[in-house]
Order: sequence, then structure tokens, then C-alpha cells
Amino acid sequence: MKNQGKRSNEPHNFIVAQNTQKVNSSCASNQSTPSNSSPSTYSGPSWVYSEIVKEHFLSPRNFLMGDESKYPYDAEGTVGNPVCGDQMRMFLQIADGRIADVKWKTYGCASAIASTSALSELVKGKTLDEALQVGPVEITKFLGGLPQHKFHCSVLGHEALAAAIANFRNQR
Amino acid sequence: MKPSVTYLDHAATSPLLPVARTAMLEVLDGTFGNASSLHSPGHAAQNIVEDARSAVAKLINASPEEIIFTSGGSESNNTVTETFRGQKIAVSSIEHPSVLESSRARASEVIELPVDQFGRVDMGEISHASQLGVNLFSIMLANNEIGTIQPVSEFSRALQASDKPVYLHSDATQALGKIKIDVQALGVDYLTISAHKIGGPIGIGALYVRQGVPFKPLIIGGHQEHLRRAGTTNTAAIAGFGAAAQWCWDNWSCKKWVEVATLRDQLKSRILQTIPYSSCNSPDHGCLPNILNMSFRAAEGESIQLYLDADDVIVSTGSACASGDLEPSHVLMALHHDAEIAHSSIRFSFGLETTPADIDRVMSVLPKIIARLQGMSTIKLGESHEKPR
Repeated sequence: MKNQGKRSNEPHNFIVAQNTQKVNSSCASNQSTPSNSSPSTYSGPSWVYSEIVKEHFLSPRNFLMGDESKYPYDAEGTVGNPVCGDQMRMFLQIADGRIADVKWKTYGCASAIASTSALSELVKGKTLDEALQVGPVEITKFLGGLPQHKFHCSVLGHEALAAAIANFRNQR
Repeated sequence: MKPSVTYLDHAATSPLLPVARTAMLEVLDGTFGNASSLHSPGHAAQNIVEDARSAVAKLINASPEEIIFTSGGSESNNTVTETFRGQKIAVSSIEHPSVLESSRARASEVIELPVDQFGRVDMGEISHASQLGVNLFSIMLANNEIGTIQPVSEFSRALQASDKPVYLHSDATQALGKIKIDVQALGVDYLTISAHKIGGPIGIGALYVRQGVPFKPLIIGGHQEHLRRAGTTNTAAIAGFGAAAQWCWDNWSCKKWVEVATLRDQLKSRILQTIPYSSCNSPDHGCLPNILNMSFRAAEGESIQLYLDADDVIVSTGSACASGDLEPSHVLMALHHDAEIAHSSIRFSFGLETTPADIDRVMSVLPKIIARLQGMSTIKLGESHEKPR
């Protein structure tokens, strides 16, 4: 991932909004791009993550605990790989062309869990086309920003949803 | 830090010892002088530095003139690889990045020696590499992520039998104060140590350089440290380092750590007994007394760390230096060649103030955290070739 986020005063290279340039999420590479955070004496949040990320991580919404066979879903999509450190799976219940309900499973870091949690809130009730418009930038904005090296988590979330929707449409 | 916090990240850094703080404040408040100046305040500062040098030297059975103060372990390691610039360097594959990356940047060739499942370099690998014209071996005394202690004295004996001139460096940053270090018995030519792992301040360390071995300074442009490390002497930090080293010596810190190892072993067995799909990455024998690295299948390390943080239990994933790095730990990869195990790991590192209540505290929150993460994980347990413990 290129260091493309706008320079901000936030610590830890937060990306609040980012160009929708395609980010390779198949396996996030070791991002050794030099830090561009501005030096500051700050008394910011206690974590590297925003309070919203923290809240979604500590109290994730709509996750599917345990065996997914107990959840009657119409479509599912999986992206990522545990070998890369992140894997996400979205399960959709679809009625009248809308996402009636959504559940997810994630293996990954706090921002991966928060991204899938946020996404599940963002797309519930939307039509499939509307849901596909919820991209990494929208997820990241909703979360109050993500550290630059964690932006790929929002990309993975979007791709998991897109894979689930494609899975549904391919069934037709 | 809140008193309710259970701090189990001492391998990242340890609290400043009161004696070190006092020694530093005496310098900061009283001894105002450049240790290189000839006037009396300068000389007073120089005396403080030389007393500290003697205390540090004594702790590792070196002579004071063999000790060069540096800014820390990374600088000490870089100084050694700079000395062997353009030459052939052999390192273990689980060295700290300041050895691995600086060797790659400077050596004509780097030979990375593999480790076994416990993180140990095989003697045969050392003997084999010594026949390949290696000029420097750099093998850490104890690993920072898993705690494995290398049989460095055996390696030095093997290298002494070599007919070619070959030198041995050991990064003892994590080992200092935890196990007895005697540079004569180890037979090393260079040894890296750092103050903040033994209750001294951050930003000061030292390099032991045996008399008569090659040396090339990393920082030039000043006569400090007998032309071996330029830069205005950091008197206050050196005083803190000296006080911490003296405290380790006076208090037989290595003996106290044996009791800590008992607590560490208790936590290990309680985790293995209680938490499904847990495994231990630290060796049962030949391990530092304060380090315990565990993996929890299907639960990612950073998430475990931050859920624990929310419950006031402070641990780390692998090494703190690697946080912000998305790659799995090179140490665990060298041991297991399994990225999922590496991504799912947590390092607990204990201090002398760690109590049985801290272990109870961990066990009151960790099983629930792992169960939750495993339950929400995409990785299905029970379908693997591995059996639950």
C-alpha cells in the first residue's frame, strides 16, 4: 500500500479519508514506508485506535459466535488468509433485494474486528447495490479513522461483503 | 500507571529502580558539568561516569576499559556490524532486527543460521559456517520474544578450535541481570547490553569489546569513550545505568529471578490446562526466567493483547519493536514455519515485582477473551490435524 493518506495532525498516521485507490488486500505487505506523522506532544486517546474503533472492538455488533450452520444465511463471502493475519467472512440474509440481516466472523486484529462490526451496521437494511457503495473510505470514516498500516482492514471488510453479494447473485 | 494494572511486559522495558532514579537526579540537579571538561565540575561528572563503568563491567566480569557506553542495544549491535563492514557475518535467524538488518546492510555476505523448534542454533551449523570464511558470528545470549538461551560458551569453544581468525558477538540485552553473565566464561569478543531491561533508564547501553579485538567506531567526531564513541557524555543516564548494575550485583538479582521462573511456569501450566488450543513457544529448559510466549489458535495476537489491555493486563505480541509491522514474528516463523501460530502469539514477560496475584488476574480474564476470539474467528477449531490440549 502506498503512503497515500493525507497528512494529518493525528498521531500514528491516521487515515481519516483516503483516495479510493485500489489497495492490494490479498496479503498486506510489510509496510516499511517512512513515517510521516508530525512530532507532537499529545495527550491523545489511550490506544492507537480511535474511540469508535475501540468501542466496536470491545463491543462488536452482529458477530456470529461459534458454529455458523445455526445461522440460516442466503449468501456468504470470505476474504483474506490467516497466514496474512486477517480473514473475514460475511453472512447475509437477503429479502426483497435488501440485506435483511448480516452476521460476520473475523480472525484478525482490533481494526479488522471493528471494520467488520462497523460494516455490518452500515449495510443492514440497504439494497445490494447500496451496500456495495459502502467502500473502505466509508468504513474508515465511520470508524473515525484507522492507522495507515491498518487501512487494509477496511478494504478487506468491503471485499468480504462484495464476495457475499456476488455469491448471492451467482446463485440466481 | 494505575496500581490496578498487571504489567507483564518487562521485556519491552522495566520500571526505573529507585536507586537509579536517585543517581540520575543527583546528576541532573547537582553535577552540572561536561564529563569531557578539565575543570572541576567536568571532572566530577567524569568520576560518576567511571564509577558507573566499573559497576557495569563488574556485572559481566569485564575490565572497565572494555566497556563503551552507547545509546542502547541497537547502537551497540550496529557498532559491531560496522566494525565488520564488507566482511562475512553469520547470525542466528532469530536475532534482534538491529543485528539482522544491520548485518544485511553492511556485510559482504550474511549467513543466517537456522534454529530448532526451541530456538537453538545447532553446534553443527556453527562449525560448518566457520569453515566458510566467516569473520564474525553474532549469536544472541537469550532471545527477546521466546526467552531461549543459546549455549554461547560452547559456540566460542568450537570457534577457538578454528584455524581461521573469527570473532564472536553476543547480544545480551534481554539476558542481563536475569542470568549470570561472565564474558570470560562465555568467551565472547563483543557483548551488547542495555540499561532499561535491568531497571536503568531508556537511552543508555554499552558494548563490551575485548581488549585487542578489531573495533571501528560507529559515531566519529569526538574523543569521548577513548575515541570509540563520539558525542557528549550522557552522564545522568550513565549514572542510572551504573546504579542499576550495582543493584543487580548487590542483590544477587539472578537468584531472585529463579523465583519469578516459578510464577512463569505456573502461568504456563494453568494456560495449557485451561485454554483449548493453546501452545507454548518458549522452551521448557534453557529459557530466561521471565519470558513466556504462548499461541492461541484462531485468536489473533493483537486482539488478545488489546482485550487484555482493556482488562488492565499489559502484555505484548512478539517484540514491541515489531508492533506496527504486519509481518508475523520472524522468531516464531523460524521455529514453527507456521504464520498462523506466529500471528496468534502473545508474550508475557515478568518482573521481580510480579506476584501470584498477577497470575490469578491473568487467569481471571484470559480464558474468556480467548473463548470469545476463537468463537468469532473464521478459523474452525476441531477440524485441524492438531488435537486440542
